[in-house]
Amino acid sequence: MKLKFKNKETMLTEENDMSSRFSDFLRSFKKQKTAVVAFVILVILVFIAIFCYKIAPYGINEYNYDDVLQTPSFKHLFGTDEFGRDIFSRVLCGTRISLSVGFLTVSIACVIGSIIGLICGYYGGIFDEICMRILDAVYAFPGLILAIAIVAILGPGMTNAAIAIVVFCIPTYARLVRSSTLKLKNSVYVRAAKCLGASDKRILFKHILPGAIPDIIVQYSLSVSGSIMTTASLSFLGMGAMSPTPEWGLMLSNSRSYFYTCWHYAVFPGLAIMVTVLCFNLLGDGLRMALDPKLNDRS
Amino acid sequence: MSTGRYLLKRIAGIILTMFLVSIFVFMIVRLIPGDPARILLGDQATPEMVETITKQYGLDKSYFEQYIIWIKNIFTGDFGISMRTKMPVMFEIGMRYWKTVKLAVCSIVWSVIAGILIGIWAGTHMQKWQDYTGITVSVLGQALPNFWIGMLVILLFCVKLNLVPIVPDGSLKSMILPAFTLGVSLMATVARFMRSSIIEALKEDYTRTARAKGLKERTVIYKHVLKNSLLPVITIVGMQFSVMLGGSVLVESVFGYNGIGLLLVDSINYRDYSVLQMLILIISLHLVVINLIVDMLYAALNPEIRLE
Repeated sequence: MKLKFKNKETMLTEENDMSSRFSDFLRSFKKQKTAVVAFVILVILVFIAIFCYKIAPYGINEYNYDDVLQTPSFKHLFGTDEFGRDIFSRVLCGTRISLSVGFLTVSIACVIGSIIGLICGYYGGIFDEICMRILDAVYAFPGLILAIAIVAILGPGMTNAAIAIVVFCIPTYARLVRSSTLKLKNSVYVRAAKCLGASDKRILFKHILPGAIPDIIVQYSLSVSGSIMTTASLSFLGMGAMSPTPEWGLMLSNSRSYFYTCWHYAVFPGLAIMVTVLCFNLLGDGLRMALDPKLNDRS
Repeated sequence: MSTGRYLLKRIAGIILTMFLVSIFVFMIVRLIPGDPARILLGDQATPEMVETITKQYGLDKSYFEQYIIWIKNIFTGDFGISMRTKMPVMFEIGMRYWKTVKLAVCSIVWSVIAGILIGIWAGTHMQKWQDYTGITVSVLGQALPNFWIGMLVILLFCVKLNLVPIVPDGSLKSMILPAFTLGVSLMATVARFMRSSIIEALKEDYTRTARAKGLKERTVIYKHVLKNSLLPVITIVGMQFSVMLGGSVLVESVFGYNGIGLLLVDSINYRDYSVLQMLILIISLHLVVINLIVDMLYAALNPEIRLE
């Protein structure tokens, strides 16, 4: 009985420790005013992404040949495109595509990359050597060029563009987690856990991975912005989304044929990309400041 | 480790990377769906014609043989013939390579100078309006998609104001807009790093000593602070070369600028295997060599760094 009680106590202190660490983080995050604003805008964007079809005043493929290439007015806030479709509605619905592709690709890459990094860093040896060589070769390619190459094999399309983005995001996480693993694997608490007979799986996921989480969170936010930008770029080059999908990059690409006369067609989808990417970047910077105490006294 | 041994080690690393990249490139190109001979000749091709073309390009041999032939040819300077234009690949790439390098150099020059100036300006006026302007410029510059900037500047300067020709004709004037567009994100990155680097250097002891000696603020900044805070910026510029190559695909496509970025997109669309594989190989070689140069430069400039 006594033993059980003791266990409960230690668990309680552990929980307290976690919650106090979280409140520490929250306190320092609140000091990053721009990051908080970016976070609020992102929450709004997620809200738009969920309810876009309810909010949008027109359907995304509602053709109206009487109102072709109209400039912005109260009827069509962002004007209309070459088929008379409402650009405002299309930009709103594009939020869902960009955000879901961004979150999905980076989440998958983050999980795969972290596992590779953990295994490589913890076990080392020939497997680590081979993995790192391959990842270095992948890393030598600029993200967009690698994505183009992969889309070239798999064929154009949104799914293939997403696969390409997952592939080029993996090395970042693998390297990140590997270096934290190398740092932590000889730390006192990991050695203590090993002495107590903890399994490798438990050590990796319960003791080492949590140490890498702050770095992963920061990188996650930055990667999502990169992923959204790359999706738009691939669609712009005609290798991602296919019409009539309301994807921002694709809309920009279509607007090229008309932009001698219609400035609004080219402006609004680009603005949407800019705002989304900007918010993720600012959030990432804010998180880095909040999670790394050494950076706090800087600037 | 001596510089010579370090260089040897790095070159061995480059050869290994290039070997991996060459296998990767070779596989990529063979995995693209579609029979190249058929695509080259169109739908009306007779089986005999397809066979002739397949033999001519060695496409009927096993992958291993194709790879050996390919590598052997590269080392003898024979890069093959473009299936699309029937011109030597060396000529196709060489002609455009210099155009892209020209574009990249122009944009690096302006963006590094502008970035450093903005960074100094922001870093030396911390928490004042100059600083906030600098931060805004750098944050915006990193978030703007460069193809969108390209479209906006074309809209403004070519269509509305009619200052520069829309189609690049190779003159310096027609280079201004593409170079500007390509350089924006580098400018933003350099400004950002310069700013934090300056802020760090201003806290150092040698800055305090220089000020205590009674030197003018201008001398302190330009002679003591700048010298030390330029180092991280050089690394960033080197790392940005690769990002810039990716960006130049988009910028070249927006402006119709006939560089290797546009060639890459075209060679994928036309399944021009021979050009595509050489192109990716050359781009990778370009990147690893530049990384090496940047590392060497960094070590030469900063005696504290040991090459290892």
